[in-house]
Order: sequence, then structure tokens, then C-alpha cells
Amino acid sequence: MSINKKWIIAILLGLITPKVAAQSGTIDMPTDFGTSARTIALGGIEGVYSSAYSVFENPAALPKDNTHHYSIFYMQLADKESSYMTAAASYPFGKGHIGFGFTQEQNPGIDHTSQNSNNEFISNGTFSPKQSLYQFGYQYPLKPNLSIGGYSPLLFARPICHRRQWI
Amino acid sequence: MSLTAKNILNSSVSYNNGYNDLKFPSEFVASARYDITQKMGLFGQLKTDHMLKAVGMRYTPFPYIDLFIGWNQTRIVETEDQVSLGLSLNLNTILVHFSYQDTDIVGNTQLYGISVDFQI
Repeated sequence: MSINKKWIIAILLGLITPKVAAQSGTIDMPTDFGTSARTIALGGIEGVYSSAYSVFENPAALPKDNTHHYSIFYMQLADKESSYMTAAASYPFGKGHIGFGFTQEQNPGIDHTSQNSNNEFISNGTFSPKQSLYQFGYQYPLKPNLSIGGYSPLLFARPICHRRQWI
Repeated sequence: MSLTAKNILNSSVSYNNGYNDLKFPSEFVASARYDITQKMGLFGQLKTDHMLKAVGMRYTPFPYIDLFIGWNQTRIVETEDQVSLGLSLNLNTILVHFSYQDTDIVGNTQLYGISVDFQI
């Protein structure tokens, strides 16, 4: 077995390992609203175009040429209360292509509420939830028109409290 | 402040004959693309997460402009319909995309997005 094949098998095994470790259920990902403006424009349909964003959607569809691909995306949602930023890159690597992606969702200044003794809802501070998703993917071509791919996301979710006094 | 980290694997297979691009990750997703002509294409997708079904259409009036329209039905809180519009400018190695979506999620709200793709 050549060194290249050993590297490819090691990478694919590395992608499979987190699934065994995590076995997570459905969680809300910062990519749920879309990973690019083009994806959103098509009603959220993913995986039908080949670009660096494929690392989030379908790593088997990463670009197959010998150039480096870069993509950046920014969107605002809910009357500009939420913002999303995404960056992705893909490069030729061995016989296949490797892809990296980062996306971040921010919702600044959300009220933290509770009920007082009169059962009225009152604000006792604000918090700014932030989710960051790092993604690594690999594509390996089996035939000129058939490729396989896998990706492994790493998600960080962090609520940040700004105030902690009764208002 | 709390910090959580989760690792999930989604694996997929792509078969592309120039018209169709299917993917089957651990969550079931089926996508199809049908180019009626060079100027017009139809897209469809079914996903199991949030019960998403979507259709979209591309129209290319000029080689450097793509127009998109899309619709999807998703279920986050309840069943919501979303309508999208988009425009792509193809400037050789640079692609610029704009999108607008009207959504019922979290009340009536709008989504504005801009993407830039480039290759070196």
C-alpha cells in the first residue's frame, strides 16, 4: 500500500471516529439558515454547485480542478438582530481535495427574563449567544464523474451574559 | 458562561453527470438538478432535518448574470413557508451573489445575504 493511500485511509478513519464518540441527536447548527447567498436564493437547496462551500453541504462536490477556491458569506436575519459570517477554502491534496470552513452566528443583546412574585415577566439582564462551527472535509475521486467525501464539524456554543442586576 | 463542543460526522457520496448531484449524509438528503437548457435549470431537495422540502429555479439571461427564485417548507417551531430571490454576477474568477428571503420563522422577518467566491 502506497503512503498516499495510507494517508487517505487515516483521514477517512479520523472522520468516522467523532461519530462513534458523539452520537449526537439533532441540534441547531449555525448553517441551518444556509451556507451561501446562492444556496438561500434557491430556497435552501444544497449540494448542487461545486464551490468551497461544499465543505458544509456535500464534501464530495468540492471543486475538482487544480486551483484554490475561497468563499465568504455574510447575512443578517430577523430585522438585523442576528448575523452570520462564513468563510471556506478548498485545495488540491493528493488525489483528492481538502476543504476547511468556519461559520459564526451572533445574536447580541437578547433579554434574559424571569417572573417576579406578581407573575410579571421582567428583564434581569441581556446575553449574546454565539455559535462557532469549524468544519474539515475531504473529497476523493473514484471515477471522473464519481467522488466520495466526508466532513467532521466541531461546534462551540457560548452564551455571554452582559448584566446581572434586576431592572 | 458555558462551553460545549460536539463532533458529528456526515458522510456523503456525489455522482455528477452534469445534471444531477445527489448526496446521502447521515441525515437523509436527496438533491436533484435538471438543466432544461443552458439558460434555465430546476432544482429540488428533500431533507429529514426540520422536514425541509425545497424547489428552486435558475435563469441566465446573460452569461454573466444568474437569477434565482426558490421556495421551501421547513418545520422549526411550526410549518413555515419561505420564499427566496437571488442574483449572481459572474466576473470571470470572481462570483458575487446576493440573496433575499422572506420567512415566517420568528415572526415575519427578512434575510439578506451576500457571498463572494473566488479562485486562484
